[in-house]
Amino acid sequence: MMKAALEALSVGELLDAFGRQPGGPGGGSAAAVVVALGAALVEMAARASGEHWDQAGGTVAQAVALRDRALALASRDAEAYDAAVAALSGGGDELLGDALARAAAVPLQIAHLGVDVAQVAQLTAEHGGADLAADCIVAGRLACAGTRGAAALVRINLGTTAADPRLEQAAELDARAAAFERALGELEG
Amino acid sequence: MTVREPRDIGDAELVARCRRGEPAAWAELVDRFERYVYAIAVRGYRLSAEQAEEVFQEVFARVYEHLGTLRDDGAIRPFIGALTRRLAVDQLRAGARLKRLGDEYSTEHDSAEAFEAVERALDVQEALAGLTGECREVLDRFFVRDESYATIARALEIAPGTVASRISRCLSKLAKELEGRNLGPGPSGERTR
Amino acid sequence: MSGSSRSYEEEGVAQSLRALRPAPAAWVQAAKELPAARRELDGIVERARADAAYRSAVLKDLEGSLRHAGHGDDVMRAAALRARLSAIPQPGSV
Repeated sequence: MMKAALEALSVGELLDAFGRQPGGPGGGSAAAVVVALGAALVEMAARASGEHWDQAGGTVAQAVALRDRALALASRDAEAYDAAVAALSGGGDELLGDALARAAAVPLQIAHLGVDVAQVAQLTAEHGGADLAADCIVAGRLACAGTRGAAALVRINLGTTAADPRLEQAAELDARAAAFERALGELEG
Repeated sequence: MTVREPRDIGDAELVARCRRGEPAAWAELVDRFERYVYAIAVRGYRLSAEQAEEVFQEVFARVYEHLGTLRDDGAIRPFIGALTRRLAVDQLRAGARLKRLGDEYSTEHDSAEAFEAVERALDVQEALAGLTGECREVLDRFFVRDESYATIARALEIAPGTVASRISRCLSKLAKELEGRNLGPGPSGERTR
Repeated sequence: MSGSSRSYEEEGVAQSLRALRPAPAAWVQAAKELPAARRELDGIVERARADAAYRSAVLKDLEGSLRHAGHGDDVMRAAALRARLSAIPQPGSV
C-alpha cells in the first residue's frame, strides 16, 4: 500500500485495510502507524506548550518530521513484505533469505524511530504543559510498543542468521524502549 | 555527504575562482547549488529520476561552459534557477508528462507555490551555513538526512538524551538568523511531502 | 487541555530544511568531475568545430557518438558534450 493511499484513509478504512484486506499491510506497517500516532500526540502537546517552554517550536518541528518518516515506513514495510512473499512463491531458499533480510531492514528503522518518538514524548511530558503530560505518556508508550513490535519482526525475519548485527541492534532498541517505558511510568506519579 | 563549513566566500567570488580554474572551486560551486537544482527538478516539476538526472547534469554542464560569459557573477543563483526551470520544461515537453498536465504546460501552474518553497529553502540553507558547526551538523543530520538521535549522538559524540533539545535550540537560532536577514521562514503548518 | 494550537517559526524553517534534499551522491560526483571529463571530449569537440556536418550528426546521437568514442553511456558526459557543441558558433551567426 502506497504512502499516499495510507494517508488518504479514514481511521475506519485504515482498520479495514489491516483487518480485511488480503495481502494488505501487516505487523510492520501497524508498528509504524502506532509510532506515527505517538509522534502526532507529541506534536499536539508541544504545540500547546509554547507559552512557557522555549523549545516548544523546535519540538513540534521534530515531531512532525518523525511522524512523516513513520508514515513513509508504514508503506515501505508493506512493499518489502510483498517482495518477501513473492520470493517465497517464486524463488529458492537463498532468494527467500535475501528477501526476508531486506524485509528486516524496514522494521529496524521503525524500531529506531519509535525510541526517538519516545524520547521527545518524555521531553515534552517533563517540560510541556502539566495538563498535557498524560497525552505525552500515552504517546511515549505507543512509540515504545511500536519499537518492541518492530524489533520482534527483525528477530523473526532474520530467523536463524544469528550472526547478523541487526539482531543485536534490535535487542538494544528493545531494551531502550523498555527503559523509556519505565521512565514514563515514573512520570505517571 | 558531509555538512560544509561556513561559507567564507560569496557567490561572485566563487564564480571568479571557478573561472580562474582554482582547485576545489568548481566542486564547491556544485556543492552549493546541487540541492537547489535537484529540488527545482523534483519538487518543482516532479520530473522522473531519469529526467531529473539529465536536467541536473545539463545544468552544471552549461554553467561550466558559460562561466566565461556570465554578465553578473553575483547573479549565479538566479541564472542557475532559470536555467534549471527552462531545461525541466524542455523535459516535460519532450516526454509523456504532457498528458498529465493537459495540452499545455504553463509556468504559472500551481507549482508556483512549490518554486517559492524551493527558493525559500535555499535561503534557509544559506542561513544554515552561517551557524556554528554543531548546530549545522545537528540540523542537517536530523531534518535533511533523516538520521536517528542515536546516530547523531554517536557522530557528534554527545549524550543521546540531549539531541532533541539541541535540535530545538539550533532550530530557534536558525529562525532568528533568518529573521535577522528579513527572510521569513515562510508559512508553517504545511506538511512537507 | 490548556494552551492554544499555534504555528511556530521553527516549523516553517524545518520544512524548508526538509525541502532541500541532497541530490543522489553519484550525480553530484559526476557533476564535480565535469572539468576532467570535459578534457576527454576535446577530440570530438575539435572535430565538430571544424566539421558542421559532423557536429550535427553528433548532436543527433550524442549517446551513440560517446559510445563510439569509448566513453560508454554517461549522462554527465552527454550533457557536457551537448553544452560544448551548442556553444560552437554556427556559420553565418554573429
